[in-house]
Order: sequence, then C-alpha cells, then structure tokens
Amino acid sequence: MSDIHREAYKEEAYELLADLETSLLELEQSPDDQELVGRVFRAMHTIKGSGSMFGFDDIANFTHEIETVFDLVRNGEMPVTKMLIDLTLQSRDCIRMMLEEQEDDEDRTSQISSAFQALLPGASSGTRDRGAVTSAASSSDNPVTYRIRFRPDKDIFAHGTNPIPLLNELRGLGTGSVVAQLDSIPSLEEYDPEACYTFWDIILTTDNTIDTIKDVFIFVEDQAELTIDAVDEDLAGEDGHEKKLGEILVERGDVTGEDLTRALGEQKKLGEILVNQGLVSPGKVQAALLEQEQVKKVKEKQKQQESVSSIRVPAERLDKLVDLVGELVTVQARLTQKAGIENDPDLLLISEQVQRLTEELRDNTMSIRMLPIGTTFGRFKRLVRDLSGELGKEIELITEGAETELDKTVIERLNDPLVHIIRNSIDHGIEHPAVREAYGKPRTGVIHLSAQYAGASVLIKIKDDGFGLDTDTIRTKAIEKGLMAADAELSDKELFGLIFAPGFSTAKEITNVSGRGVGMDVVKKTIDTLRGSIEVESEKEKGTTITLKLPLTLAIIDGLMVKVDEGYFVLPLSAVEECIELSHEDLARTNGQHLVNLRGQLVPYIRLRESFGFEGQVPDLEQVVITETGGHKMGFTVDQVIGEHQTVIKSLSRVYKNVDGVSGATIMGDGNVALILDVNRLAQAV
Amino acid sequence: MIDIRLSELEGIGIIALGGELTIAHAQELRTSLKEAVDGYRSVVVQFGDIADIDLSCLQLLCSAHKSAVKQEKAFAFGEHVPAIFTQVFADAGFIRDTGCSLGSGATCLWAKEATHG
Repeated sequence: MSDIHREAYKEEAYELLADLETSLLELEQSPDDQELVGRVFRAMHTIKGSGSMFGFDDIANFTHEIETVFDLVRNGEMPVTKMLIDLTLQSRDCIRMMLEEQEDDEDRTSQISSAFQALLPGASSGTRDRGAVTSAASSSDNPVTYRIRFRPDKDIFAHGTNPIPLLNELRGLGTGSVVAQLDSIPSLEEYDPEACYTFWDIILTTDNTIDTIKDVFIFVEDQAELTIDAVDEDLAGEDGHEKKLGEILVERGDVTGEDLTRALGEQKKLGEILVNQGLVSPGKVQAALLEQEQVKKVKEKQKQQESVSSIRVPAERLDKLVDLVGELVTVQARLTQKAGIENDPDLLLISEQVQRLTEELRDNTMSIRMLPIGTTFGRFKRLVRDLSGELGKEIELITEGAETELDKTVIERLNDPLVHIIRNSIDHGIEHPAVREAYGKPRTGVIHLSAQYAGASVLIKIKDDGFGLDTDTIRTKAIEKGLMAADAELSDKELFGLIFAPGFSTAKEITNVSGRGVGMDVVKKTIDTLRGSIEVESEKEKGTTITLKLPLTLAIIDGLMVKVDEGYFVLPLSAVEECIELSHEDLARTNGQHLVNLRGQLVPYIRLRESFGFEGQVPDLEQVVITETGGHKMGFTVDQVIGEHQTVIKSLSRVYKNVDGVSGATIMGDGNVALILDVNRLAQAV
Repeated sequence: MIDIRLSELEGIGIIALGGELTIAHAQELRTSLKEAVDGYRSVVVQFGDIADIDLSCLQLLCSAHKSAVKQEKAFAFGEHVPAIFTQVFADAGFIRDTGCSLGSGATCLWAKEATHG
C-alpha cells in the first residue's frame, strides 16, 4: 500500500474523528437524537471500512465492536448512556493514537474492546453487521436511487487497491444491487494476471448524499472512471409508467436508440433479443433489469437533486496557489508602475484591467483559505467536559460565532493558545460548585467562547463567570518574581498584563491542568507571531474576559509604506493610528529624548534611521508614524510616508529569521525589497 | 502460499485449489489453470481450505471458463464450494441470473443455479 493512500486515509480519518467527537458530545446532551446516533455510526463504519482497505487492520478490528454497539443503539435496542459516551470518546482517542502510529497501549485498547463486548447482549457481532446496516439505512424518509458505474483502471491491483471492500462500503450506505461486468475478462491465453478486467454497475437506494457516495471512492478516484447519476428524479417515464428495460439501457448508453427500435420489431423478450443479436451482454441486461426492479421497490419519489457542492484539495496545492497569486500581485504592481511612467494610454488600459482581475483573483484565492473557526471550537467541548469532570467542577461551554472565518494558518496556530486560556479558566477561574453556591452563583459555571468580525480582524473572546483575577495575588507574585518594584503603583490593566510574563503563575499548587507557569507567556508569543493582540479584563468574583484580536489573513496585509534614507519599510496598517511631523525644533525641545508631544500626551518614538544604521542626511522635516500596540502608543520616525501598500508577505530566509523587529519582507513593484516591521517587538525592545 | 494440485480422473482434469488465492499468486494460478484447460476435455475445480481469496482469483476462474468454452470443453466447480468463496464472489457482484455471452446459464460459473442450487 502506497504512503500516498495511507496518508489520504489518515487525513480523512482525522476529519471523521473530529466529527465523531462533536457528535458524541452533542449526543450526550440529546441522547434520543437519532440523527446524531447515525452520524456516530457512519463515522465508525467509514473508519473501519477504509481502515481495513488501507492496511490499518488494528483500527478496523478495534472499531468493529463499537460500530456493532452503535448499530444496536440505532435500532433502538440499546440506550445512549454516559458510560457509552465515555467509552466511545476513549475509543476515539485510541483510534487517533493508532493513526499517529504511536506505541500501542494494548491494555487500554483491550479494556475498551472488552467493555464494548460486554455491552452486546450475547449476539454474535459479525452476523449482524451488514444486514443491520442495510435495514437501518433503508429506513430513511427520503431515499434517492443512484445508478453508479465504477470502472477501475486495469493496473489498480498494482496500487494495492482491492475493490471489493469499496463495494461492501457502498452496500453499507443503503439497499440495492451490485453487478460485476465480466465481458472484458479475456481467455487465459491473453490474460494478464496483474490486470483488473472487471467493472461494476451498482444500483443504490440511499438517504446519503452523492458526496457520501463519492467519498467511498475517494482513494481510487484517480485510478478509476466513476459515474453517479440519480435516477429517482424520473422514476416514472413521461406518461407516468415505470421505465422499460430498453429505456434504461439507452439511458445508460449500453445500447443505441436505433438498435433498440430495430430490436423492438421482434416479438421476443427485449433482453433476450438484444443478447442474441450481440448488441449487449447478458450482464448489462441483468444490471438494467435490477435497476428496473429496484426502482419499482422505491415508494418515495421525492426529487432530491444533489449537486457537487465541494471538492477536496490538498492544502499544499492551496498554499502554492496563494504563493502564485502573491507573485502575480507583485508583478501587477510593477506593471502598474511601469504603465504610469510610460504614460501610454493603451498600456494604462491594459494595466488597469490586469489590476482589476488580479485584485479579484487575490480576494477569491484568499477566501478559499478561509475556514470557519467552529472546527476549532468543537474540540474545546471535549476539553471542558473532561477537565471539569476531573476537577469535580460543573462547567458549560457556550460557543458563539462558529461560522466566523479566519485564514486556515491562523486557525491552526490558534488551537494551543485557546487550549491554554480555556484550561486556565477551568482550573483557576471557575470555582467548585459548593463555592459558587456560597457566593450565590449557579452551581454550573459558564465559559463563553465567541468569535466576531471587527473590520479586518476577528475578535475571539473567552469569558468565564468565575472568581476573576486577584490583583493582590498578582501583585505579590510579580514582586516576588521581580517583575515589578514593591512600591510601584500599577493599574489593574497593567497588572493583568503581567500574567503574560514568562514563568508567572498564581496557582497555589501545580495541577496537571494548568499552573506550570508556561502557558500564558506562550499564548502571548503565539498571538504576537500571528500579528494579533491580547487583552484581559477581570472583575473580582464576577469573572474574566480575555480578548484575542487576530488578522483575518497572514498572507497579504494592508501596510503603510515608509522610506528611511534608501530603505523601504512596511508597518501593518492595523497598528497605525496617525502620522505627525517632527522638525529639528521639536527635537531640540525634548533635549534629544525620543518623545513627541501628541495633543498634550508624550509618546515615545523609535528612530528607524538609528535602529537600522542609516547614515545619510536627515531631512529637515521627519515624519512620526504613531502606532498602538498592547494599549500603548509608540512612534516610528521615518524620512517619508509613501502611502498604503497591499503587502504580500514573504518569509525571510533562515539567516534573517531571528532578526528582532522584522516579521517578513515584501517585493515592491520596482523589484526592491521592503522589510515588514514587527511593531510589537520593536516597541518591547525600548 | 497457494496450494494447487492437478490430477486426472477418467480423462477429467481435477484442479484442487487451497491456501491464498490472491493477486500475489495469480501468475501461478493462471499457469496451472491453462495447463488443466489445455490438457483435459473437462476440468473440475475442487476447493480445499481457502485462507484468502480476492478478485484476481475470481477473474482467473472466469477466464479459464471462457478458454474452456472456446475449446468446447467443460469447466465447472466441484460439489463443495466453501463459504469464504461464495461470500467473496457475492460481495464482488459476480452472481448471475444468466450466463455470459459465451455460454448458457447452466454452464456459467456464477449462475445462481450453479453455485447456490
């Protein structure tokens, strides 16, 4: 089995496991929801079926009993209990470990398997498998009948693929028939032992969508021809009669209309005539007859046309596309610049058209990278459930704005910080039920996780109704750690900012939930690298709210282009507040201190000329770009403010990776490179 | 490991198959089936203990049947068809109401009467 196929299986299995976890947690809340039971069953069924096909026999074997138990649940023969949910969640974790090919904890897996076996009411699990699937799947309200032709490439065996499990998986989706077409099998003289000569006609009546059917073939889609047509839409012919064999054969393209008309001149059975005349093979007639029979059986004739709503594309291809669009944006900027210099009307027209198309392409490509944050939110339900149980607390997680979309890279990197914050809320924030009652609060604490758009950013709020941050404890700890002077007077906001300092932890004892003091500073660093910001608000005994502000995308930013001597720099526009002038007189007034008077408020500034070692002549009037980061204002002195710039971010090579204060670079229209400043880092360095 | 044994009984070739009837041994199985079909006026396949079977074996048996029909010879399964074999060819959708283009329903390896009768 090739690694590509195993990787494809793993990718799909991870998605299924994520869906499984969400379904189980929802099922715990609504144990009678048959749709959820069905989702759990289908996830297990697919993990098992595909696992067996792609050499993950351990997963297939392990999943078998669980699938069987959920089959019983689905048929109303077993209730959904907390124990069942617990066991299934543990199984899900075991399957994940097997997928990651971590060392097996055999004791754990065998304990779980035994627990599931114990749930079975003495019935042989193997015998109920396929029949049960079929009966349950056929109980849908709106089944649709599909005509499927699956014609694998001749060399499919060489890829290690065995088509039979695919056929069984299809059977698992509903009722119907599978007919192998054997006409292409040659006699032994011409037979190539490694070739697949068989193809299949399948009639399937199912309540699953066409996408689910396609998913069965996902690992062989580039090694096979696959056609899937819904035949339910016109179960009956135009005048209301059921379709005749000839009509079906013509529709399938197995016989032409002319051949049919000619054959109908005979008085024998049509199938017999067509076979006798060698126009169609008996296998094809059989498949068509089965379709006719199947369609007759289907009572529901509701139209349910499913269009192809999505396709699966590897993330690397998407990243490559984004890179190419980035290059295109750069070249387009050069073209625009050149057209402006040449001032040729034709060239200007072309340049404007290219600019318009490029912008549209850029926006479209960026939108493809956007994913709803709900996928990440789903995981935290499990975290809250398990940890609150472990700590004997009662906590409910409420999520809001799951549909808010963020760049996939931001979402991927956001997971760990959110885990840290939520763990902290569970461990330090929400009190034990008895304590809450003593404070007149409901026993169950609430963590509210929400996402919402705010301009070109997304705000993610993690709000709990726990004890709140204790300013006295933070102050004591900060003094003890040397993070503030003993006599310093800090505002609450400044004090709360100290929890992000490395090594800071106020937990009285270290638990395995949080309290090792390695969490919040890592959170801050990660959010910084995402060019985001973090704010804490807290009220004693009422709760804490942590707000993360994140950019929608990491690939392209709106920047402010500035110039210092011969060097170009870009500041993220989201951090820029305003620009003011700085004259030699202003400099003299502050006695050389880097402070500027902004409507009565003194704002420190950094001279980029000094930071980057430019030695050229200083202009008479410099510009100060005022930015705001982490609640503080900071200015950056430059020679000239050029203006807004759509900045395609390029990573710096390894040599420059660790340069503080620079987060990347961009290529300008004329081919020059401009450095993108990391405003946070530069401000912290002062 | 595949287990193939060819013997003769009153001019009929008896080919006994067991072990792993899978793609890994398809070449070997093809050679033996060809030898049986070419060498005898009729061939009967007798199944022993089958450890594993896949689509390649089903195709080869079908191919052998076609070769036999072309040479106007008989090719059939013996009385005992193991459950593992019937399960795989049912799963693969090989069961036929009627025979293929070459032969009538009665001689088709996969006809319902031939395997389930």
